Amino acid sequence: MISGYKEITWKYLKNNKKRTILTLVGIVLSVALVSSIGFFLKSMQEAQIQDMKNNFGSWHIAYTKVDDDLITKIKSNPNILISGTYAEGEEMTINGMVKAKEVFVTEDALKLLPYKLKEGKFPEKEDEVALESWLLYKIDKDAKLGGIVKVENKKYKLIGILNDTTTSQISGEGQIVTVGSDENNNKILLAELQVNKRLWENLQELRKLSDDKSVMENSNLLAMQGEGFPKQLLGVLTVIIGIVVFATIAVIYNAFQISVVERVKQFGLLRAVGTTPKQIRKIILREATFLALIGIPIGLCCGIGALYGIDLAFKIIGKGQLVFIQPKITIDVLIISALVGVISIYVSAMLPAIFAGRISPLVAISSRSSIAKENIKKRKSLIAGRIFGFAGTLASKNIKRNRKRYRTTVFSIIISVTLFITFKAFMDMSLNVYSEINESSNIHFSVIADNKANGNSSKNITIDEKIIDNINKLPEIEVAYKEYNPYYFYAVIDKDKEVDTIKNIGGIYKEIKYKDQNKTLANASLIIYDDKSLQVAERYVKEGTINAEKLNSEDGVIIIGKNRVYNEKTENNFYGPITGLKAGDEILLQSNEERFSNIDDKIQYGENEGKVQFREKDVKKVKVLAVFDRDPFDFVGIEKDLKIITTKNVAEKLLGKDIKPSGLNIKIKDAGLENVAKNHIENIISVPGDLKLINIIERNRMTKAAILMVKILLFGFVIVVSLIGCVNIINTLTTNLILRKREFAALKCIGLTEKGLKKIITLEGMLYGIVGSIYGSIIGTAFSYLIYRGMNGVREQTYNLPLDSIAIAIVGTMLIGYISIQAPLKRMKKDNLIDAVREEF
Amino acid sequence: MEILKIQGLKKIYGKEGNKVEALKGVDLTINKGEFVAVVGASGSGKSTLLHLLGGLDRPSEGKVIIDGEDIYKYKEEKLAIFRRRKIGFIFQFFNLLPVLDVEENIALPALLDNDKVDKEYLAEIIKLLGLEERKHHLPSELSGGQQQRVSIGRALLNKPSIILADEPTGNLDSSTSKEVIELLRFSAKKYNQTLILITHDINIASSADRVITIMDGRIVSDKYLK
Repeated sequence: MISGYKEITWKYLKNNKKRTILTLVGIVLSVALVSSIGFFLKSMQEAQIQDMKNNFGSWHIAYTKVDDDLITKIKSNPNILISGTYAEGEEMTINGMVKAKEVFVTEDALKLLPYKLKEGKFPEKEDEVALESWLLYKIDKDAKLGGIVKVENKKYKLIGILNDTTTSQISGEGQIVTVGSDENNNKILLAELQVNKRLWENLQELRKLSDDKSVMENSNLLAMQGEGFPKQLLGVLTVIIGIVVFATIAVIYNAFQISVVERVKQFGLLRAVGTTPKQIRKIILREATFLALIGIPIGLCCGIGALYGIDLAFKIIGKGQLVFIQPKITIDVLIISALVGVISIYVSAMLPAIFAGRISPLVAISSRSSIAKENIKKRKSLIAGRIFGFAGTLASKNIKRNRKRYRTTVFSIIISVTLFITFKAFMDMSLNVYSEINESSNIHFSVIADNKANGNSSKNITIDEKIIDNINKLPEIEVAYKEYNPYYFYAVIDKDKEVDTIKNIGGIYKEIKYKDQNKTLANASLIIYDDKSLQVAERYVKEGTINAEKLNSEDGVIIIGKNRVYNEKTENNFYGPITGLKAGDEILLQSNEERFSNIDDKIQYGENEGKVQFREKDVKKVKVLAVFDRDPFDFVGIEKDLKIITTKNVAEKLLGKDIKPSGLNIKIKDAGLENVAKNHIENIISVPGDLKLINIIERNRMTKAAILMVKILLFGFVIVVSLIGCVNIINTLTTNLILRKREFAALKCIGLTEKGLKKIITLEGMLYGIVGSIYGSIIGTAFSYLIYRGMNGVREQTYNLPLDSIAIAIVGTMLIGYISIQAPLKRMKKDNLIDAVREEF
Repeated sequence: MEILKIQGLKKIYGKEGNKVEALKGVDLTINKGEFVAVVGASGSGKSTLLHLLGGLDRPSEGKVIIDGEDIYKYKEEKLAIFRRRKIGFIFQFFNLLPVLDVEENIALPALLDNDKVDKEYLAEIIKLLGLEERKHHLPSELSGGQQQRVSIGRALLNKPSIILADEPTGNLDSSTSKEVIELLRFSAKKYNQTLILITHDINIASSADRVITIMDGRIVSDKYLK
């Protein structure tokens, strides 16, 4: 026997396992969602920090004037985690082409420098080296680990191969990592500090140990660690977490409210036999405590599990590609998530507890007493009646008969729909921000001009067709896209093709009169695509069609309908089209090759100020045949220009000269053939000697991996959010049916068929669904706009109404509603009519 | 000795344009130990009267004085405690908590008081009610008569001054009805409790000490039979 009235709590929960489990599922999902968001953010933050460490090293401060005294002070400083010295040797030339420097490192310095081993190990002895593989190839193609490599007059034992970095490849300056000699006086001392609240203060203290000019900071890493989470994202995060917390409260509130409504007669009875309102509230809050004690730990475990599950999914889907974000579980996220869960549960349970405490004892006595004397409006359900007949009329009257039940049901659907629309909008906008994946991310190698070779400016070096043919013939090559230098034009368009946002940003459009007409002038960058590039770019077409022959015959061009324009007023980037040009429109182009005065690698943006002479004789007309929704390949022109794509044929006509490719972007059949392909291509391009091969497999792999991770995470969130929504709807609708068993039994007694009952209930569900979806869509759209405003702090984009999300939410609600009533309907079918009519509880 | 006094009791439901006067000013005095039957047609106001006597609802006007105290001066908390200790309710539809077994349902008023249940007395009641073999059964495992006996047990546990029964046999067959009424009379006599019972059954009414007839919210007849 129970020893106190409070144990009624436990008895209720045990006797209503399904209801209890459903409520627990809601709590678990919500807590899991909150905690996994927290873990994800922490992991992302760590990933960003790790990314900085990978690129720039994990040191915070570096001193170039090093003596024993400084070393001692640094080593004995309690705020320093680790310190080490390295030194750079003299510059060396390899095979007359590539520059390299010895880097003498100590064991501690290696931990602080951004070197990553691909194979082997770091050098431990003075005659051992580790090299980037691209440099190794230049030194000795046949070199193997453990073997000897010769640089100038020095011989080293090759002990490790480092990952290639894009920066060193493009700059053409390699690093020969070896172990330092104490005799080297040009030491640099690196130090990593403890990361805590006093990081900046400690850093300033350490700066004082040497003169300003001899001190360097790793500003990239410090920015990440000091700031914590980027401020621009805080706005978005606040909205997201606010919505999740609100949804958690709403879902749990709903579950408690349903459980109280289900037991309203029992509470009435308890009141009748002398339970005080306070005692009833305690019973409800005790239920909340119990559910919290079980639900929150399970929710946290699920959050952790979800993080690792996503990591595993990522590894499987990414096929063993590098994991960009390591899952990170931290105590603070666990505590905060648990607190959020506890607060949400108690806040949610409070109202139902108060409601339960106010239940009149009369409710227990007879069902007659539950019909309050009130002005009940006679409702005419015209629409429902007209479409669905009497069943529709009855369904429409039924749902509004009990205002509380109606509000609870509609509210739960509103929550579910709002959650889904908001999170999907967040997902779509995030993917917009993060994923600019295009065909360039599938490129494995690039052949570009070696601007140091033969003293030529890189602009004049082109690739011979014979080299391109030879590369194309290699068995491991899947496709090679020709790349051309960008060409600059003045472009004149009709005034009605201007975009308001661009007008507001300013600096893009100029007014111009052409043939006595007011038109708009903008700068244009023209890029040439070869046939293979055009073919692969077809899937980026937003409107129009692309066809090389048509482009050639009609002087056709393709516009890229997405630019990145920096807005000085908002200090943010705007992403969107800079014109409203469509297929069929015409553009007037005049060459502007004098636009940039450039000397080798120094590009000065010296625009021609003053009036632009748009000379009729130099003007050529082109026709827009298609618009791309974004860049099919990374754009090599100016981002804020009108971005034009055309064929070599058309470009030669516009420029009046022959054009040859300046680069080649190569995709191999299998990334596993990397070394074979690299060797073969290097052999082919070694003949002219003025070309070099850049290996971008690693960089693209990491970019794709990061984007895939974000996609999986975001989809995961949307799925969990949808599940919470489903639990909510199922809970509400099934309870509605269970509470009305007697009513349905009575209807069946007077002759309603099973089919007729199913029709009424289904229609009720649909009507709830429609009403809830309408309100939920409005609120969800409002939240999506709030998120858009928040995300604009990260990156400006155009706002689109989440119509697809609304459609999915409405259809989903109907479907879930329909499915959730099937089980109770089946059970009711088996019930004895007489028993059901008599049933009180 | 006077146990219950009602003065000018009125109960009005609804608002302007939709008013229903369930009780139109009732005056009544009941002595301790009396067995009073309240009869009347459906909608006459007898259930409303019983609810107001038991503090289940608040009157629109008038007083209910039990054991010398105007119970409607109490706030909600105190009224609930009053109901728990002074009144024993028996409803037509049993109204047991489905999650508690027989023993626990009977002990409920004591459990609400956070009191240790007098196990001996509980056992006595269970025996009196003939429920020994069912004491660990849930309400769903009991017949209608057994359930009503449990609700009687619950009403008796705290030895209340007044037992209010609203058509306690309305849902039972005739032989069970007889049993239940006998039980009520027996325990009321044994513990010197006042029993006020609403019934449609003439036989039950005629077994009472006093019969009060209510019509249209007023007492139209008040006869002592014994």
